[in-house]
Amino acid sequence: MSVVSAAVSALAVEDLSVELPRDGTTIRPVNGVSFTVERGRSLAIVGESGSGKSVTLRAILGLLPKGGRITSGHVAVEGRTLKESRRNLGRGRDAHLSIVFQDPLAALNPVLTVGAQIAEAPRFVLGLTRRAARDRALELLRLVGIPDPVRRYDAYPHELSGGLRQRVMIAVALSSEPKVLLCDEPTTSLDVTIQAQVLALLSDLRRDEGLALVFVTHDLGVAAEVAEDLAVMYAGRLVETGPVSEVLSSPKHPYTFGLLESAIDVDTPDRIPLAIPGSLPDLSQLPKGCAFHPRCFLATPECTTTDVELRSVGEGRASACLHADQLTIGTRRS
Amino acid sequence: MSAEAVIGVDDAGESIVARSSFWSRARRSPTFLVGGSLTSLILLILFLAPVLARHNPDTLNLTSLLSGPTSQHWLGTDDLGRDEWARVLYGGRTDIEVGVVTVLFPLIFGVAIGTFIGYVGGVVDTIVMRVVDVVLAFPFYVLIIALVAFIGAGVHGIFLAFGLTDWVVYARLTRSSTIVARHQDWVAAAVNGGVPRWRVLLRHIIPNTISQSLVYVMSDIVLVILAVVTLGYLGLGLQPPSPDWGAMIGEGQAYIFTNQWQVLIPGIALLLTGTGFSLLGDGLADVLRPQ
Repeated sequence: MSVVSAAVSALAVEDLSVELPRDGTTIRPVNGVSFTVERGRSLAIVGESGSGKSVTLRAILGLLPKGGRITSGHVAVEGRTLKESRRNLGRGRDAHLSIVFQDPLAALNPVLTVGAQIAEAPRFVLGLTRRAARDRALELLRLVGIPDPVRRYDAYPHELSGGLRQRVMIAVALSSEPKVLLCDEPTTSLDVTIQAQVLALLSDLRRDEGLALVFVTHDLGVAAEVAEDLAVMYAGRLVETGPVSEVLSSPKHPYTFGLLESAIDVDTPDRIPLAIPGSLPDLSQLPKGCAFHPRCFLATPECTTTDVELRSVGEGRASACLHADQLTIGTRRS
Repeated sequence: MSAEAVIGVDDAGESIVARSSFWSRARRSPTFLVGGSLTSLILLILFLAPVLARHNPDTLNLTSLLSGPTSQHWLGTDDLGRDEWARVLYGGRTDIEVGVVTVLFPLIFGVAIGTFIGYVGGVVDTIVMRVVDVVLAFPFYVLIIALVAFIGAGVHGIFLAFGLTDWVVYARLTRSSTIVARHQDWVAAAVNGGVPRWRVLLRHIIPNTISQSLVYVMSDIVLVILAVVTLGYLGLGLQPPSPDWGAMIGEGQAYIFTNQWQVLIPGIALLLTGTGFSLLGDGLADVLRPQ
């Protein structure tokens, strides 16, 4: 997206497709997904549960569940294509990717102190001495805004509150010095005030450390707060991409439009949220043509037959809708 | 019950939660306290046997055969006039030593194998688990007695028989909890962060899976002591004259109608030891349960 700099993207995902076995058939939770994230920028991938957003992140890290397979696509970090194997596009520090999971209690080892977990990568991966690794861990604890890091170093995860745990998780993710931080709904398990603090922390890290962030969430408010770019995912495909403010103010895909209509807006409390009719289709029997057409108010016979790819609908924006031009700024709020 | 107790709020508005160390949780488990105290008391008494015994367990006192408790012999004497108190103490020393030493190899080997196959999976896992199934399919005592009879009675026979068979229990326990631990996000995070495999296994997986085996090892010690005693009773155990509760029960059996002491005393000692270790195991399970 950046035209000025000739530098390569921090993360480039191209044509990623994943297959998972389910109930005797094979489903395709991720289908031809492509996106790029520049250094120091952040992309939010939004969608309903089951839209494939988390599987996308896990596929990038090679953490697919048993039987899962990457059928196409490649991932490059800072221009370097990650080694491809059947289930695993990239792994570990070589990939310069780290992940922050949704539930920090499940993502931290209950029997190790948080300090030991943060110091582990510096010591055993970056090769620091025990003392230097400890100093590095304390520095990371300070960086993620944990008060009294020296005391917290020796705490076990269950002794910390949810917000502190998520900060620790972020410190663990940063400990291997990644270029790209993947966040899988990192604030879903937190209450709103702590959520705001964690989002602010992630934004600071992006700005100060030049990290590229990929943020998976189902919360458009979170996406608006943390991201510059937005990618909307539906039934395994990206259906709309673009700068977050533009996408949210004038969606170019009826699904994005529906998501916005169904959100509660505190600024216009009188507006009644409208649900998108129907539900996410069964991934093993996707409708022909555009997967969204059975739920779409713009659907025409053409939509049931034509496979729609993302295509440009203006500066930096793309939509996978045949009727994108029918959605104008005035449509919403009418 | 959660061991967390919010004790205040720090400057960032985050709750400060009280540390709950091993000992603070241990103090709140009555099972652990009773089991721990009983076991420690028994171990202490057995450790102090040379001081407490007052007699040599092998010295014959032919002027006092099959006597009841006297001021000279607190718990009486057996059919050869040996002091029962001294024999219970020294017999317990041997039995518990054999029990503890015997489970060490199965514990270490079983945990290592279980961790390996649980983590690697695949064909290796299938093959090892079939071996485990075969061993488990045999009735325990039949297998042990057959092996000891084949290898030869005595301490070596017991070590070998248990070493060959007992590891399967630890392997099975550890394998299943390793499979669970392997899929945890923290393992994924560590592997993804580039932490070497050996370290992931030693620091992330085994500490989370070992508690079940540590709990089981307590019951296993009791099981081995019982087996040693049973083998002793059958004449396949520790060889005379070294005192052993099983042999004492076996020798006392002939006089069970006239002099119950000789069977009851080692029996009660065995019961107390078994209770102590079992309660300690149950208590450990409470205390070690991950938070």
